Amino acid sequence: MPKKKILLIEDDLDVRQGLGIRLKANDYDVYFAGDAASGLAEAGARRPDLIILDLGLPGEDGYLVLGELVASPQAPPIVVFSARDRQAHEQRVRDAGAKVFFQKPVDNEELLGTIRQLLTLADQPHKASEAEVR
Amino acid sequence: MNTSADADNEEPLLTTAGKDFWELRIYIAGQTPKSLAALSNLKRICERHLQERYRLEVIDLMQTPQLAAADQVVAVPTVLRALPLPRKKIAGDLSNTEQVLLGLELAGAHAEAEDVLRAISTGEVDAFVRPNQSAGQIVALQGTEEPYRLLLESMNEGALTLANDGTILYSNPRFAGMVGARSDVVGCPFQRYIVPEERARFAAVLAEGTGGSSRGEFTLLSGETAKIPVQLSFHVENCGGTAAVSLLVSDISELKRAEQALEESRREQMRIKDEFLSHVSHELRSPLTAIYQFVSILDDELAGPLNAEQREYLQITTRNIRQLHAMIDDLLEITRAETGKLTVELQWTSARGAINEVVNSSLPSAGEKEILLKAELPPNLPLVYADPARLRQIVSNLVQNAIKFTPARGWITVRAKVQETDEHYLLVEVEDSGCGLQPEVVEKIFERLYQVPTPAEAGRKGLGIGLYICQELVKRQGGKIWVNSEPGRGSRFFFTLPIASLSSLIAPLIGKLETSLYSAALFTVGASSDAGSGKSKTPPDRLCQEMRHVVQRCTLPDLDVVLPKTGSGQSGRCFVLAVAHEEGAKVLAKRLREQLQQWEQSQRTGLAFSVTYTFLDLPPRTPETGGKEWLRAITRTVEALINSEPDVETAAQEGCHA
Repeated sequence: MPKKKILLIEDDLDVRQGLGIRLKANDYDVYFAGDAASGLAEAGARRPDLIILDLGLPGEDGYLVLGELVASPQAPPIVVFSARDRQAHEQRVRDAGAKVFFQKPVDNEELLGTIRQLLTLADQPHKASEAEVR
Repeated sequence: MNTSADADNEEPLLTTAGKDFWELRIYIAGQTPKSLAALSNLKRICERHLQERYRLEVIDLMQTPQLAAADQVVAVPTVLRALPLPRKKIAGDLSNTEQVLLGLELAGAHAEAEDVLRAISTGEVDAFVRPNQSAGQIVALQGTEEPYRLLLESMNEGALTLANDGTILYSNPRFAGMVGARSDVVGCPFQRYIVPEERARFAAVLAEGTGGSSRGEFTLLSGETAKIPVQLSFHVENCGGTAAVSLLVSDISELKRAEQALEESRREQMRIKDEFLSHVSHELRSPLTAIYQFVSILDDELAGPLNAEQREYLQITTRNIRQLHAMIDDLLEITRAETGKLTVELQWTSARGAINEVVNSSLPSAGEKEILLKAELPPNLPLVYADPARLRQIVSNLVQNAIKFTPARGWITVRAKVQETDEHYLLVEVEDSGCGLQPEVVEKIFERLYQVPTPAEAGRKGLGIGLYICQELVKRQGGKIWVNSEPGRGSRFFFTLPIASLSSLIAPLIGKLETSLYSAALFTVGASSDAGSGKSKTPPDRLCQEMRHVVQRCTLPDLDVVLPKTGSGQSGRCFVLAVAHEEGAKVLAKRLREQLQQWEQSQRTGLAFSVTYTFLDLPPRTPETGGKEWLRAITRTVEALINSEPDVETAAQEGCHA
């Protein structure tokens, strides 16, 4: 089975590097982007299986980027990873189409567990969308 | 007035004095009803006794304040509290003044003069008369002595005399200026210058005023539209049956503006502080994230093997990162606590679970100080109605505090039981063998930013907000928190939380059930995630929480109750008790299915749902059964139904076997 591809859109170099090492150590292919434009370009070019998105990108409203990513065809699940206040943003981020909101810093196990779960779920889109409502 | 026949027959004193023309100068203070009455009274007297042989000069002191011209004048003030002129003195002076008008009147028309004197002595008219080489002078004054009058005229406050019905008898120029009066305010009711909504209150103050002083804040109308906040100082004076009110009007707009500016600047400062705290907490998170990531990379040996010493140091670092993380979270919490935004999501939850979890995760830090940390929990501990995360936060805070203040080789015990004094609450206790607290510390320990004076070995102080946040959280969940402690004898922190009870939730529906032909149905909404394994599983808590929100949106506030999450074994399901007949139940079931499906389509959660309902077999309600008993019976019925529902996991497995 080929490695899953994760796109990490994050402008903080240190966080990007650290999280990248952690993700690679867990057997993912990791691609990086440091701003909105390259994030959107990478998302189109690499076709990642999951995107980790920081809301505070330089000069961009994170919600606009999130909106564009969600609107793209065959959008992968998106995890928002932000320093912003959970109480103010968790619901908003979900409503905008992200799957999960994680407030920085987050426990490694929690983050990796959620990523695994989301990737497994995305593997059966057929099954999930046809889940019968009895 | 009585005019005696004797008086008429007598030779008028004026005539005997041999004078054939009289010049009279009359001073009045403002054209008040009183002064005008006194004036007309005097005119009548002159008319009768002097016919054409007099000239009357009226000088209004309020218009041309030249009191000095009348050196004979003795003024008797009524505007301010004044010395009443002794009647004896008036009578004596009058008896000496044969040529004088009032003397004439006394001799010639006793009754009329008596009337004037009465008026003088009761303060209705103030008068004094003295002979003069050129002319007799009569002075009728309602003013005041000059210095006081000048003071009144020039002061920066409005000064008025009112009759007891509020009619203005005197006003200084400042008041007229305040209200922007175009014409004279004298003779007008004072109420006219107060905003309509405050007139009744003003009348009440007037009516109440039988004497003495009082003050109150009112709003004056100024000109067409402007309003001026003022303080009115009333002084009510009784003079012979009628009351006069001295009123001082102070403009307090400046004061009000200053107060408002102060309040605005206080709010602004609060806002800046909140913003700053939120900004700081936000900015600290990114570097902390990077530190945590790289430390954990080293610790997990992703960058190469570690020796034992290095591993120990990294673990110390990790522990400190967690502390720092908790402090950053607390920074935001305190802003929320102050602005009332601390959120709690109440549900049925196990205190046992929360306590055990906290005790287990605190064992390492207790172990470092060789502190014996344990939980003593009785079997059959009831569930509480609380926010599980917040409950853990409270217990954790108390335990961490206890570890901090308990010396090495001490002990800490966490207990929980139903509160003896109120069976509706669970009492949780954290006891330690630490240094104890001074009485003055016990008083202040839950205050914001309060720092317990720490013994040197207790180390870091922390932010001083942990117990404050605990208190806010306990309060918000309907409980109380307190501490019993003595120096040297350890501390016992207690808090209470309401025990989860089905009947308290069902109680509001009882009225509807009694008064209608409705019956009640219990809905069971189940969700299972069958992603991946092909085997049905309980979905994660986060999704269950969201599903509850979806279900909540489908219900009607007065007729349906979503029963709380019960915490153990049933997290994949939620129950709704609905007051409904057959049709209503069908509608609700349809709505639930549609909404859940919509939610699933938008979120692609991978969940499968089931919506089922049964009608309750309601116990009969007879006049003999009290309301409480009936509620208990219904609660038992619901409880039995909920407990008879098999867990999702079991149900799914049974489904597989079939």
